[in-house]
Amino acid sequence: MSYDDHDDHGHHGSWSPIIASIGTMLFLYGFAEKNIGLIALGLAVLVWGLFVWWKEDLPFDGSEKMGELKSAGTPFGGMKVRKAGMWIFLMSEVMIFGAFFGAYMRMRSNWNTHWTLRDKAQEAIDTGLAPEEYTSIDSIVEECMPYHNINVAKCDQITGGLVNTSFWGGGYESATAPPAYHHVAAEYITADFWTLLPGAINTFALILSSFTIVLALKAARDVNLDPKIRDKKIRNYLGITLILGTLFLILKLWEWNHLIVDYHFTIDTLAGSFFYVTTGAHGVHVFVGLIFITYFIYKAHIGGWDEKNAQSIEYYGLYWHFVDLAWVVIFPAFYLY
Amino acid sequence: MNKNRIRVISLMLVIFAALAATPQITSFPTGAGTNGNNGCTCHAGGAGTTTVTVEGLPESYVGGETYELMLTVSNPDIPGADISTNMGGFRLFASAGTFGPGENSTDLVQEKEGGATHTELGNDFRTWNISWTAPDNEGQIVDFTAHGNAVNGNAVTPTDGKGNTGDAWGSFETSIPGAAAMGGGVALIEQAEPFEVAIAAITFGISLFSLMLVYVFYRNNPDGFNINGLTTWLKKWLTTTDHKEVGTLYFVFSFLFLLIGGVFAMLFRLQLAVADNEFLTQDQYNSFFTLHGTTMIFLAAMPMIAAFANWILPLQIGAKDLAFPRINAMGFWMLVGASVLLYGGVLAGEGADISWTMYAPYSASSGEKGASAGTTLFIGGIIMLGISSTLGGVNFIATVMTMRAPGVTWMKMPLFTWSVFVANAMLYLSLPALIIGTLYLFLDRTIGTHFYDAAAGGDPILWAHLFWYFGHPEVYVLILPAFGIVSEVLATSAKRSIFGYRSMVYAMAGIGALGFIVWGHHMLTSGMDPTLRLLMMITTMLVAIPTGVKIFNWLATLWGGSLVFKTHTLWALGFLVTFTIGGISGMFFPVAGLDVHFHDTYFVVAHFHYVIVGGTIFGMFSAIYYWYPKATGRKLDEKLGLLHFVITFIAMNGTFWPMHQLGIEGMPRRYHTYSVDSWTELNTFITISAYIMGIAQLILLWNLIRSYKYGEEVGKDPWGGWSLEWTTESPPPTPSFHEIPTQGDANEHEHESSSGGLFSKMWKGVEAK
Repeated sequence: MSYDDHDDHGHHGSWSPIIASIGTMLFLYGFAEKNIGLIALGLAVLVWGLFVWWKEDLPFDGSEKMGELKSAGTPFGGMKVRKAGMWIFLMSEVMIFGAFFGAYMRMRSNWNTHWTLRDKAQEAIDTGLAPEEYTSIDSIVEECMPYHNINVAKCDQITGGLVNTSFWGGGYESATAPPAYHHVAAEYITADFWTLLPGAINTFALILSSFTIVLALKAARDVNLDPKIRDKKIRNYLGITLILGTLFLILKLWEWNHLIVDYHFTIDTLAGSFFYVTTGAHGVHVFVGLIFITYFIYKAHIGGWDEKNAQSIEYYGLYWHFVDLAWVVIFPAFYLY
Repeated sequence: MNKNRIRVISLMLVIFAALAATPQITSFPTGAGTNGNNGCTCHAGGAGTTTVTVEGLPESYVGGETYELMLTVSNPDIPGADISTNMGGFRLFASAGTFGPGENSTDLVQEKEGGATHTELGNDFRTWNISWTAPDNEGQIVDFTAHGNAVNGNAVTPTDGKGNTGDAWGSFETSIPGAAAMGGGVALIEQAEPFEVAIAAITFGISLFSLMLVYVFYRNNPDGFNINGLTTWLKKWLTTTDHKEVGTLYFVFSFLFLLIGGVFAMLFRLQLAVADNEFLTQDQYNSFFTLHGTTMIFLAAMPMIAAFANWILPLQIGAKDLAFPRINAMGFWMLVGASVLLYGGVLAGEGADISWTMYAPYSASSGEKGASAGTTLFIGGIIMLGISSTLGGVNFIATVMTMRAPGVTWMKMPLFTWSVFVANAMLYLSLPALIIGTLYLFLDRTIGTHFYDAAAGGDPILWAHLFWYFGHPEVYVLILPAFGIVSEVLATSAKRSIFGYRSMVYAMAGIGALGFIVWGHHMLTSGMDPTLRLLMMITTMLVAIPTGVKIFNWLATLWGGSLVFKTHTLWALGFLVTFTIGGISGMFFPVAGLDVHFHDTYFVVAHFHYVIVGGTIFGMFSAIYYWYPKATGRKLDEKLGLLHFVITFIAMNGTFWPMHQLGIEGMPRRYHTYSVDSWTELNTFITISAYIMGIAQLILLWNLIRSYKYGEEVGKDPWGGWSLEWTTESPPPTPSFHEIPTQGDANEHEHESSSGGLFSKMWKGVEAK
């Protein structure tokens, strides 16, 4: 670090934080009140805040004067500070998707109820309530596990009523009991060609888009290229990334539509809640990425990229790779298994 | 200059007028307009004189008593006997008390806009029975106004077949004194609704705060004062990204909410002062303690930590600013937006009533028996808090990891920086669980998902897991920075380096790691697997080991040093006492068997207030006195500081110590009231202590404001601290260092400046190799 430049980055003030905050507040307020107008207004204000930010960022030339500091000391010594910041941010993103997965796995693996069930099964065996052929805990658990299309009457019989339907919260008593996720996955998702096909295309589209963003970075860093050709190349590669990301979202919405219209698989069931919210949250991440890449394309269009500030594309690429990676985990967990 | 003075004075007058008007608007007895209505002329004029009489009114009323009144309308020109329908109507108002239908008149009389009137069916009569319940306060005179209308019916002498030939209005007025107004009975002080008190207090606070802003702006430059400069000045604060200015914003914000949260606590302490109290309704009580908890944790304690982290951390590691100044500012403004969402509900009279733990399935439910309507907004606010803290956390971690000046190696980093680093690492890794949990809750309440709805197969316990996976690291996030502050303060005050620096760092990191695997002890009574319960019990008890290491290190620091008693030292010593008590009472909970007894009792309340008030808040107060000279260039007044400390310390123990006993006796937390008379004595004592503690904070507020102008001026290093923040000017320039400094060794600094005790010399000898 040089110490005599009296860099003034960060001391010029910015309206962006307060505008973005008001936008977020209005959006959440509108969502809570189910007021479409407020939601739209909130999003508009939020985008306004982003525009203010971008306007400040546009002249960024990658120099230390503009805020691109170099890291000192372990563990990121020599790395650019913003890159380190992106890695640290991605760690929290990992935890975000970790929380989505933790909740989903809890539902799929019945951790919330499994141990009580085993207790009750043991009790049924000990007290002799269980019929002769059910001698092990596992054999009873196999029959009584919820989400396995539980046979209530049979379960009642083999445990002598120790495990009864109220044990599962009462939901499985009624004829309108929601379908368990296993059920949904088996019937609508894993076995249905028209759900799997868009999923498969999406997977490849995202992986391909990760590749094109790297190509864009490579072009931006190539000092041997003529600036005009370079700008065009960057714009085209970023454009392909944008198109692939948009394809992903369109196919995603088409597939949701297919599930809702053809199978009546809606968000007001437990399985639907987990499916739509998790894949939807991933979709929002893709969408946010697309908004940023639109700005990047604009910057390429006006010739704003060169080898000195190309690292912004790299940091964005880190985020984009992460979003791909999250999909690579979500796809098998929600579509294949 | 004179013109400006006039401007300021008139501005102040306007604000005072607004202040004076605020409580009036909401406490007008019957609401605006309803009392002056003389009745309609729906039947187009009338004839003769109508007499209205009200029978059954007492000479003087008894508070709370219900009286049966009979209102009669008569007019000799429009005899009622010939008419069978549409004979008349009435409106009756009183300046106090409540109306209802009288005996056999349920269908005929209704309560409307604070008064009584007839129903549509009641049109067919000229005599109505009305019941009036007198107000509790017997010291006033109640004015009655009745308007009666004798109508000519539908069928008599019609010109168009409608009963529009006669409207004959008459009025009746009387006044009834209460028993006490006649000499005798009980005169009560006029009571305002607690909601009005809360809103008036908040409005008052905010107005006072705006006034203060203008004053501070004025004092900044009294001679060149120009009201047009106010917008420029405000713009500077609204758009600032400098870490010191954002830190100041955080501090002012947190102090404001510390006082607001205190107002809520005082209101419901008043409710709990005596058994079977009815000061607050159940709904008010629920939303008040919800807002108290959420405000104190998210809007007071955490922003205050963020304030010091913003101010001091870059100075301590010798950085010119944080790694991402704009993101830092965004973290603050997100917090402001979140506070609006959190308070939106209570200001509309529908405050969230789900406590800061927001337990599902209650929080996911709505309707008559569910959580109140403001809950959705409240949960939106929590999501926004999550965004704010994530932005802050990423920023602090990136700053510590990448921007340390030469000499500030990991094992020479000041302990406050270490504590903020560990706390933020815990915070930003645990927050996602809360964000996702509240997102599920938000969607459950808005678009109808079923994550927490057991009837649809959902799982309410999932909420508890997600919440406490965040919630327990969160309480360490609150206490760790206080650890750091106390380490700095004690070492500086003892004029030596901290005892066992390395073990302090490892202890903090250990708490940070252990903090992630103890969340289950909040759920020991939720029907968890006994094996898991055992695991959580053991891991929770393990936390006592690193914490104990820290406490013994602090004691050893004192032992070897020569202690100087400044106000910040007093707070740090107070912290040692109260935090240790809180830590010990905390060791009862991981024992699963005891926890079943203590769960949801006042013992829990006593414990976490000892660690949060006696730990976090005492640490923060210590930091205020310690770093105020760095931020402003002036010391806080030590005499006022001593007064503040002594009163707060005694009152704090008076408030929270008796709660242990109440908890053991079984007084439940979160209950609106209690019927055990023997608890009244301790509860009254607690309430009085709480008020003393609350009011004592005004001393600090006064001290902060006064010393800004009149405090003793200081140089770079008023206390003899060694870390880098003391090498720059007070207040620091922008950017904070002209030259990036190089940090020396704590022990070398001590060697130059003073001679420590025997113990520290021995230790220095070891380090010198």
